[in-house]
Amino acid sequence: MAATGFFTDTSVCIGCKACEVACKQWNQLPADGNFFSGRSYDNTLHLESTTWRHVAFVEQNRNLSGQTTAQPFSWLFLSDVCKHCRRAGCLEACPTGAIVRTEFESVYVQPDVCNGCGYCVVACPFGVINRRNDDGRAWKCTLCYDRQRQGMEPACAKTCPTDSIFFGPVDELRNRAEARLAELHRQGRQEAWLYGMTAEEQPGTEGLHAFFLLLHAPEAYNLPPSPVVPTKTIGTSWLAMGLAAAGMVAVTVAAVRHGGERT
Amino acid sequence: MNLPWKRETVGRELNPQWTVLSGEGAGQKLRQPELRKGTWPVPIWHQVPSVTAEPHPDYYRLPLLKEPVWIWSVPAYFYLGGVAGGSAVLAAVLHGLKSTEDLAAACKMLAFLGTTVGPGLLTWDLGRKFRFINMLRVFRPTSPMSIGSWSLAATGLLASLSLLQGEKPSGQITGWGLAAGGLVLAGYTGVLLGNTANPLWHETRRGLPVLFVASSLASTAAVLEMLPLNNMEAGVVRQLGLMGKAAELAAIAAVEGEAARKPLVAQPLQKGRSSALWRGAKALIVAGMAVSLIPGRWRGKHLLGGGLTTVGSIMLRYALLEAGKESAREPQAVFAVQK
Amino acid sequence: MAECHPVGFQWVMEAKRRGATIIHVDPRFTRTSAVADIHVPIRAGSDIAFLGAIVNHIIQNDRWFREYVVNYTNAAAIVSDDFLDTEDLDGLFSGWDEESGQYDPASWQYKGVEVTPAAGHREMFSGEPRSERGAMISAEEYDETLTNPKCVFQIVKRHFSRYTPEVVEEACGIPRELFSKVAEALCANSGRERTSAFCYAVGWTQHTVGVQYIRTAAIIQLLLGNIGRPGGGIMALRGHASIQGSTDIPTLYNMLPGYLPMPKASYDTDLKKYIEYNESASGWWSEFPKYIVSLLKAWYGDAATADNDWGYHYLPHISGDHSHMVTVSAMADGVVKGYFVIGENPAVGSMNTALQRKGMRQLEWLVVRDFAPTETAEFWRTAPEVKRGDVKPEEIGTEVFFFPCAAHTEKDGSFTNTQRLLQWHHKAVEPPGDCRSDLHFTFHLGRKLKALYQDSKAAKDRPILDLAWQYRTIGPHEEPDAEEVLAEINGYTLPDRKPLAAYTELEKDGSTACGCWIYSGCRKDGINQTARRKPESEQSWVAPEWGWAWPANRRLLYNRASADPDGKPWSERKRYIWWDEGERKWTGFDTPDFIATRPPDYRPGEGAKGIDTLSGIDPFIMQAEGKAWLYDPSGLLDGPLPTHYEPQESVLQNPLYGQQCNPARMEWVRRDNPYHKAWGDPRYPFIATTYRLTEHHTAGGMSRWLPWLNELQPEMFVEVSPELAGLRGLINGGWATVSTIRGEIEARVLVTERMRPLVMQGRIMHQVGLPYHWSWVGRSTGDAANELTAFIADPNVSIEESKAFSVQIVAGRRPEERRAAAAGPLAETELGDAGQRDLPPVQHKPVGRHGLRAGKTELTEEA
Repeated sequence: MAATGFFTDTSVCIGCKACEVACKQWNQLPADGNFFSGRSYDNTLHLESTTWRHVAFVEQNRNLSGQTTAQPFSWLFLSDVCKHCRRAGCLEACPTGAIVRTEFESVYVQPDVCNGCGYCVVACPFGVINRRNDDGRAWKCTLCYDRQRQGMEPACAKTCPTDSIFFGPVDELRNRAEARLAELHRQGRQEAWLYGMTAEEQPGTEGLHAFFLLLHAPEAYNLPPSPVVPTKTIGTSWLAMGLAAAGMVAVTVAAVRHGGERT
Repeated sequence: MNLPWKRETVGRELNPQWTVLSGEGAGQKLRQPELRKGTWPVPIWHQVPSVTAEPHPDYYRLPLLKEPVWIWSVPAYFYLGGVAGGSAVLAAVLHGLKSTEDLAAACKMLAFLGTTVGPGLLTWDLGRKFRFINMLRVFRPTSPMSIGSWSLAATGLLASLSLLQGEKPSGQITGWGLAAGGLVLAGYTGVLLGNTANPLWHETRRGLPVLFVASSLASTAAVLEMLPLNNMEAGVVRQLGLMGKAAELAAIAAVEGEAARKPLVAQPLQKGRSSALWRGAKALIVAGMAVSLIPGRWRGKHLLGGGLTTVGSIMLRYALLEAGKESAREPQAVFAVQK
Repeated sequence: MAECHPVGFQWVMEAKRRGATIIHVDPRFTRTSAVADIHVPIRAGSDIAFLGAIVNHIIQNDRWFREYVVNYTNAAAIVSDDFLDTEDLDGLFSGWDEESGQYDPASWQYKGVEVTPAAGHREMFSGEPRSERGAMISAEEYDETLTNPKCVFQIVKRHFSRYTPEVVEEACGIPRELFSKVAEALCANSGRERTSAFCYAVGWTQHTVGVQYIRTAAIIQLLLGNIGRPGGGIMALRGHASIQGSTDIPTLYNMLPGYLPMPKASYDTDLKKYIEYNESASGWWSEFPKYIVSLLKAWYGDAATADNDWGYHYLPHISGDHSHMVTVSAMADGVVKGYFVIGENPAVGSMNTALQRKGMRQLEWLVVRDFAPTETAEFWRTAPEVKRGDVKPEEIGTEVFFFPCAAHTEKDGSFTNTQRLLQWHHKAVEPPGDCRSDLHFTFHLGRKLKALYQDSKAAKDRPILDLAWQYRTIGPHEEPDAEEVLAEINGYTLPDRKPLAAYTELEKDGSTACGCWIYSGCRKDGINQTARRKPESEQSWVAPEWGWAWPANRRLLYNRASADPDGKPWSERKRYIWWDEGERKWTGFDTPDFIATRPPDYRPGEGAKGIDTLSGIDPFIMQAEGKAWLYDPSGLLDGPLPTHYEPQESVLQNPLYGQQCNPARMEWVRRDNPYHKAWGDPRYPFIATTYRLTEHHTAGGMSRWLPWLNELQPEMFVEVSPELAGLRGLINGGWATVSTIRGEIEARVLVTERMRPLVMQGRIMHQVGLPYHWSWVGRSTGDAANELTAFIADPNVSIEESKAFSVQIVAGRRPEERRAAAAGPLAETELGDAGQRDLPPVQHKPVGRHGLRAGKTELTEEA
């Protein structure tokens, strides 16, 4: 089956947070509690085990191109979500096989298998997945696996009033994203760019199934500039361990020989 | 409101039965609205948002990554597993040698203890403890934890077998098998930490396995040092200990060097609670080494030297976990690494 | 719009995607500004100065659409020689009556003609209403060259001539270049090939000159030719679902369904008189008798006969102004005894909430229907004044009944949106427990009343006994069938009860019944037209088969104006409705909002009556003369043209006129509703405006009980600029206390550059933003912004002024013993500066004697 995913176009996002609420409603996720954060209109702050969509609010004192204001200012929104990476750190780290790649090529945590070892939490370069304190298992966006099985689009995309979140086959999304980017560039909005769409652009993850059109540096939205799935670079680690193990054997043998002789 | 029907529910609060969350994702009770228990202590932001992001943008200094969720039992296991690994290797090398039978037996016992208590510690950390067996549900070569789990299981079996076999000649094969598993146990935890997105652990992914292996040697020797040993055994342990501690200190320096290539990454080893643990561990290991270098053989010296090194090695593992948590909190460190 | 109407805003984003320029005018930089091309920060309460300057720009630079203006508006009409403009009277129009404290609109009329407004506000005029003589329009004088100084166009031109970019800078704080950019963008996007649209919400309406704000936009749109054409218009974004529906089939005290005026006790003494006073001799209001008779037949069934005036006497007759604030102040004075509050939370959402609660304390009974016991239901138990100890629950005699109600997903029914589109919603689940729909409540209340009175022989009880109340009920809870109600609204023939297809089928002889004439056709052929959901992809872009729009499924009102006087589209790009010469009828993408077979060259002859008076070039068929009004000869209480007046409580003296405030505004001069100085009150130096956030819903009744929404905006906060924060020592995330003379509230501080101080008249003006969702009950609480606002209203529609008033803000939390003028120790009323607000002739106007509000004086002045 074709890979499906999200193309999140921040240039049309209006920061309404309907995606956050629709996600919690559909997936029956609890609220995280009331906390006035003082960070613009963002009071949920980050993706969490109980917050699978999160809208970031970036205030900056400069204009976007083509924008006229009395004083330089712009306000950027980004609806963040699990990226369903082609090479997924969480999936590759999961020792139980709880995290699988579904027929939609999405990365899914099977709640009946997960034993809450917590390794995926540190393996994700985006800080998406987390373990719940009370439930004990790791949770993240399922790309609405249950809805997709019924032929429905994910709840967040369904509810997004401005089609900032667009759901579909990844190939189509790419075409759409490229067309949109070209359109924005034609309009002179040079700050627009695509984050994580292809393996060339983001070799560390070999491309994301949920990618973004951004209007600022990724850091401003709390996205890593060039995330790398840990397993990609772990060869050297194993090599170092192998050498060290060899050294250990050598040291032990030497110790037994010399230690025994001297006394 | 003191309404009689008010319960801890969501929704309309007219009857809890209509408003209980149900379904797969609802396995969590509503947190108290007043007490937000996030993963991080996030203070209220006191600056004007638009003027604080430049020149190095970040998102209100909020952490990008999630902190490790592991509790105290995980570094405790790192230590025990290391000792079990080192003991298994030593036991194999000692197999068949005369006058070190007691030491070999002690090593086997340590390997056995480490590989049986260790899984218990790991299970204690699990979010769903009764599903510990799922660790052996699949074998996933990309996951150091999966490799470690299988090694731990195999080593545990071999260690039990080895104990039963004692000094029988057939034990030689079991011993080498055990040693092979022990080598993995000694070092995989370093790979496990290196195989994460955590800036500190990821940046030190070459040094960490070496550090864990070296520390495994030093910790094993330190435990053995504290046991009553004959001269022959004491000589072996002393040699092992000196080389192990030297290697451990060298590996610590290597890890620090790796981390120091990016100042923000090294910060948890230099500042704050985690650095205190780290420095403490280093000091204890140095002290243990110094005590070991004092000439002479007396019980107090062995107890002191072994004890200092043991505490140092345990502290080292806690320091690494704490430093990892600290590192995850610093978004700029993540940007520096994943660039 | 993105903040409060994110779902509707999808179409704005769609337009932007297709290249539209989005201009956002707001004191704050909101989520709408974030995606707009131009954001214009404006001083709250100065919009007429801004819009008036656009009118001036259009006229001075000759950017108006001449052919449209000459043919489709009243630009050419000659106005009475007696008319004097604000230019002549320093901010007053001619006709100010010191005695009654209101305008006499006689001098505003066309020369030699009296025209009445299309609908609505006749009852506002004092004295005996003039009968309509629409047929006399033919005697009207015109100057199609638009050069006669007494013609509407020249009057408008002169009136707005002082609204210059310099004035915009002085009054609104908008830099001249920014203003020019907006005006030019608007002009460049109008004309034959292009159209521009205005969208507004209560940021425009909630002012003492609220109606005139929208009038100014109407003038702009008419000058640019943007009404009745695709992509044009002025869209009122309503406060929540189906507010449009609640004006069509009104919850308003002065209206019957379909904008038929409520009978007045003093002069609508029988049906004949009622019809005489409300029927128009020309235009569609000439069919008035059909509408009212069919309504009466729908309501009273067989009991309505020609002999008893179709039951006209059963209708309640109003004796004056019974609008919200008038009623609440009457409650506070002990005059009103009972109060139904359905899906509303006046203890939070209405102005001067302490006075609202004071009113409720004097009631004998109060019925609240809502999802959860709101502040309005809990006012007697946990209100601030109760906690403070000023009021003791045991001393409150009000009996409060709380009814849990069904959500829209738990009942059938329709929503009418701002575009007059009716969309049916089906019940998805049964309402839980004791929750019932409003329809259920009303129906069963009626049933119980009928049962109570069934043995009565008294004539006064006939209205209840004769009420036609036979709706089919469904299910164990006896839920009335909502579609049967829709069938009654649609109308049917009598006696065979066949559904009507359109309001044109209505009769005045009792052979038709219709619950709301403008909705007639919504159940054409017995099919629920409002439930149609044919996707856009399967029909034309106008999508006539999605839902149903009143009247007659017209998606665009006055769409005859989309064609030129000859009946040809203004341009290929903007074609919509046109005259098909071959077929001899109007055709196009939509239902023509015109007499379908009236050719463009038709001109009414002498003595034409009713709809025959509409010529082929009269697109505005609801107007007596078929033309849109640049200038309002009648219908408004505060002047025929919009004029910039300052808010009741301003920081500035009116830079344009000697008259500071709207002279006809409604004031409540009472000790529990004190006002600040007219301008420059040193105690309250900052401008405040209230608003909503996407995450919550109005007064919070629907949202503050939902954790999923509460976590998104968990607490009351106040938005200030970094400059104001510096001035007042406010820290982001810390606390601030905001106060007016009426009360004080505390809130978290959000310091942001989205709020910016404005520079005008050489001074720096600070604005304070106050969301109004919170109060003391619910899962997320905070102080209510409306503790600060006052009873002060626009004269035309009695809407409050909560979008611009003056406040003080200081750092820190409020003291526990916070004040409120309406409870506890009363603040001293500052009456000494009343003169500042008004020119001498206005100053001594009788308080509260607007329109027919008989006895208002005794209601509002405290004993």
